[in-house]
Amino acid sequence: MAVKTFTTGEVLTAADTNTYLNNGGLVYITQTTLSGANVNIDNCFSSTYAAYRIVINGASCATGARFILFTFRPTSVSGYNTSYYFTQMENATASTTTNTTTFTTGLVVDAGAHSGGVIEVYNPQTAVTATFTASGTDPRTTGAYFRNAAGWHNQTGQYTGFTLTCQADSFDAGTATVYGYRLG
Amino acid sequence: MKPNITIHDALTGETITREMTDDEYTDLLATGWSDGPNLNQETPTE
Repeated sequence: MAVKTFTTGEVLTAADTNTYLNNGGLVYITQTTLSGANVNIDNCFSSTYAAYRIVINGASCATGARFILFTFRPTSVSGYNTSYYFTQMENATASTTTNTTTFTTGLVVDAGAHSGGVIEVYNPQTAVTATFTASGTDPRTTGAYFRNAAGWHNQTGQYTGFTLTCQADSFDAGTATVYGYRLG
Repeated sequence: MKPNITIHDALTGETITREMTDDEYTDLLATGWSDGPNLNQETPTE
């Protein structure tokens, strides 16, 4: 949707106000709490946006030091749990994984700590291969660790949501907020 | 007892948290998840 330029003396209607307040560069789509081993967020990707930002805030788990994993949804779309290729980095050490069932975001949750970070997803809902990046902070009493990752999904399914998995544990706090980058 | 799952629908805004079904638990295990320390999967290191 194009940006509208209001002119001096033009009447600002409620409809225009609501429309353009909701159409900043980064548009809020939805938010959910993080609880359980899996968090499924459905119907958040659509043809309205081509790129999305997922903000993870205040995340923690029961045991500690676990990755957050990302998988596309719904499970009815072929290829949702295969063909993920990524490199994830812990400070200066990188590791590369090919053709696996999920994307290890590199974001870490810990017990009693509250991790934050972002996951960016490009073209999840179009019939092309999707790409993603992630970065965040792993807060430990031994220091702060910089976590990041980049990857792609070698499938052309059109996905409308995603799952966040707490590796070998369950989330017990935090939120995931989904935003879309406005087009045009 | 299987772990819990949270399901959120962006269209309706509804969120539920409940115990996983058998199928959902099977999908979870397929990611390499295990109930306890996962010695076969890379975990964060310091």
